[in-house]
Amino acid sequence: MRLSLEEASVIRGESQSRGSLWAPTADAQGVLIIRLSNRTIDTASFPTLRLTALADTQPVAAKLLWRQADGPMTTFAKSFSWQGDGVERLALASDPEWHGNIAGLAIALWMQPKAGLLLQSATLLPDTGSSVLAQAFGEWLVPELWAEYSVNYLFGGAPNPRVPLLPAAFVIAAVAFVIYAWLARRRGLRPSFAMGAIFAIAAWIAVDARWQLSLFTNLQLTAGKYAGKTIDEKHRVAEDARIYQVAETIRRGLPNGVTKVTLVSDLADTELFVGKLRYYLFPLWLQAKPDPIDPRAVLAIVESKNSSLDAAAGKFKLAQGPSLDVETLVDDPLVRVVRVR
Amino acid sequence: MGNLGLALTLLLSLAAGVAVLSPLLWNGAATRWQTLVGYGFAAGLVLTTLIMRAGFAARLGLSFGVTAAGLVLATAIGAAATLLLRRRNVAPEGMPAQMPQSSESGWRRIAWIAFVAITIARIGGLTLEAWWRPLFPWDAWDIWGPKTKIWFETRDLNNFYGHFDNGYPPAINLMQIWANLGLGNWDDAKMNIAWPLMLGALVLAAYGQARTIGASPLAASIVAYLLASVPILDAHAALPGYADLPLAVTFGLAAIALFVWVVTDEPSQLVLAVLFAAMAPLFKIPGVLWSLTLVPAILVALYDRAGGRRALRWTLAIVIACLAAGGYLYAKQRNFSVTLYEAHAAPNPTTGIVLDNYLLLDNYHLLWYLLVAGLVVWWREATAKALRPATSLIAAGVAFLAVSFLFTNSAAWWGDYGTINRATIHLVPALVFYLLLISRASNSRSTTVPRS
Repeated sequence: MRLSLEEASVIRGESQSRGSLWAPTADAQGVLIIRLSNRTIDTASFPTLRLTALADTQPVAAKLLWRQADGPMTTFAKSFSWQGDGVERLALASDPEWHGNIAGLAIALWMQPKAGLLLQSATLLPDTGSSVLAQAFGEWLVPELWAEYSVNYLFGGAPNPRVPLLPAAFVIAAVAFVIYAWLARRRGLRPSFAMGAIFAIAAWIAVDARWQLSLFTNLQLTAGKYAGKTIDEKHRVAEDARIYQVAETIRRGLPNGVTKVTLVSDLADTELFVGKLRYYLFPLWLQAKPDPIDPRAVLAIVESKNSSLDAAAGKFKLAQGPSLDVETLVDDPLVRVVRVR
Repeated sequence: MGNLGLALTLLLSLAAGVAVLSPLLWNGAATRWQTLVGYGFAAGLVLTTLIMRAGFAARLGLSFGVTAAGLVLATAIGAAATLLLRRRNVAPEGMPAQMPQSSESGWRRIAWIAFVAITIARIGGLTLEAWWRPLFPWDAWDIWGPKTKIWFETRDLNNFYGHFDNGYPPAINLMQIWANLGLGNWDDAKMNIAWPLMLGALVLAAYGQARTIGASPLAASIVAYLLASVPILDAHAALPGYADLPLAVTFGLAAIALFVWVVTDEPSQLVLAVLFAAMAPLFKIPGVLWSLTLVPAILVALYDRAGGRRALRWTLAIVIACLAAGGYLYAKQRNFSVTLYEAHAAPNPTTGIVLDNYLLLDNYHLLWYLLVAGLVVWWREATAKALRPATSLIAAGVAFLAVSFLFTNSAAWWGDYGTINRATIHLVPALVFYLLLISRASNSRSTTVPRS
């Protein structure tokens, strides 16, 4: 039973969105409680809950909450350890309180204040034979899209699968070989090495078919996004397109002879933003913070709440700093570039 | 110069690499072209970076013309040396005058075609991915890319322009600069085309070397396919810009040449192994340690071949023990530091992470399962005199990984599995070829025959 996210609501914390994704956020105390459903559910039919979710920071504690539909309507809580790799699976069948009909299902997380949770789906699983098989195959065949971590490790399919493919493939190949060896001996033959190799290679190919599916999916996406484009056009559609555009806007607006740009931004402590901006600006040097501000410094102002610029009056002021006379070099919605007079 | 210029840079590097290795590997009709081209491409790229460094040191600048001229000169010297040796009839020792039968028939031919086709398609797909996608993984734009960009823009290898110098060798940066020089402009997608091609070179060379030790075309094509299909290698080819794949390729080629030397006794293969072991540290500092894993293997091989010189053996053993003790004391004095690594005596509680990454996550397909199963089934072959040096190399490599995983601070970076597989990837090509070695050794004594 897939619990529609439309019926989910934030009980404690804030309901926010990131692009097309729902991203409920913990409150200032780091608590986030989400009611997943208000429906009446027969627990006997659903011994497992599967959440496809990724938290900004690893929750220090996580609980599943439910309320009995009958009798005194007691609320129960079950603590569970958050895996943190995209899929959380809770085995509920062994919990003595998971019985009868329940009304209301919620999760409670304790995280860093204001940390978000990207919640894609919540599903109650029946754990029948066909359901388990369907889940296993379904999870094996989830293509793994490229991510920054892909050069460090690869899941292969869905993270945290119910049945990991590698040991399953190896066990199947080993059992097949044992059966073959038994049959060979019954016929008075010595088991062949070649057959063992064939079973091993067949298992490898089966695992590799899944990997090829991921590679093909990635290649299709990459081709659709980048094929036939110049390197400038590629960067303008890449994941970090906005940072690239900021860098190009700065670069185009600089007078000759400038070799250093000082960033004024609330994002100055964000490693990804500063690192990429710096990379795109090379060989121009980017100073990450206006501390100190050089005479005749060129300032790039990007998403800065702690500074104010009056372009008409030629005045720039940091929240904690003197007012400076500046000339505006670039006035763009993405970035404003000024030079200290 | 555009794409044609890029193609020219690759061809020049390939030609130079093939030419300088020809005196070792060229043997007329008996030459394994796959070995020559595979090893030649990797060697050519390394040679290119050395020529760029030499040109810059000689104040000739960092330009396409100077590097191309250096590569043409290297090609000419290599070709001349090969011709000279051929005229003197000094072919690489131990090589047959003619290649053995090299085709399959029936279902084996169909299977051979299938494995070759899948392998080519895999490398082709990875090449397209690298060709289209701009620099993607973190260290590629945070650690390696900035140096490349600064050096390409300023044509000055001493200029860091405020970017921190990580102290790493410049081979990666120079490979990227070479591609950009060919293109005539900065392109942080196409400049990485060497990565998937290096994987292709490894696969091709492994095919050739498997044939050299007598594997059938089908068996060699399976080895090539296995190498091309290991996910962590593929990921580094598709998302290029790290030093780990070039290091894995050069160390892997060194290990494979050593294995071939162990089987064939061809001195040229030992020279090849040492040559490529010397290249590994040019990409990344841990390459020094990987290259050192060849030492016990070579010593074991020499020890086995020395015959009954008991006294010499004892002397050798004592010298090695003394050197090891001296090395230990020296390392201890330096708190066992190698770059950022520091050793300690108490093991890290990281076994679970290692097993997750080796056996559950799909980083290596079934490689570790097959290795363990292979060693359990064929431990006699693995420890027999014929394969003892190869097993020593694998044991040294695994021991190096075990020490760094369990007894150094590297575990501190594993919260997101950050380095475990980027350390292991270097050993993967050697492991795959080693599986071929032990399976061949066992196959020679095992066939499907009626039991007596």
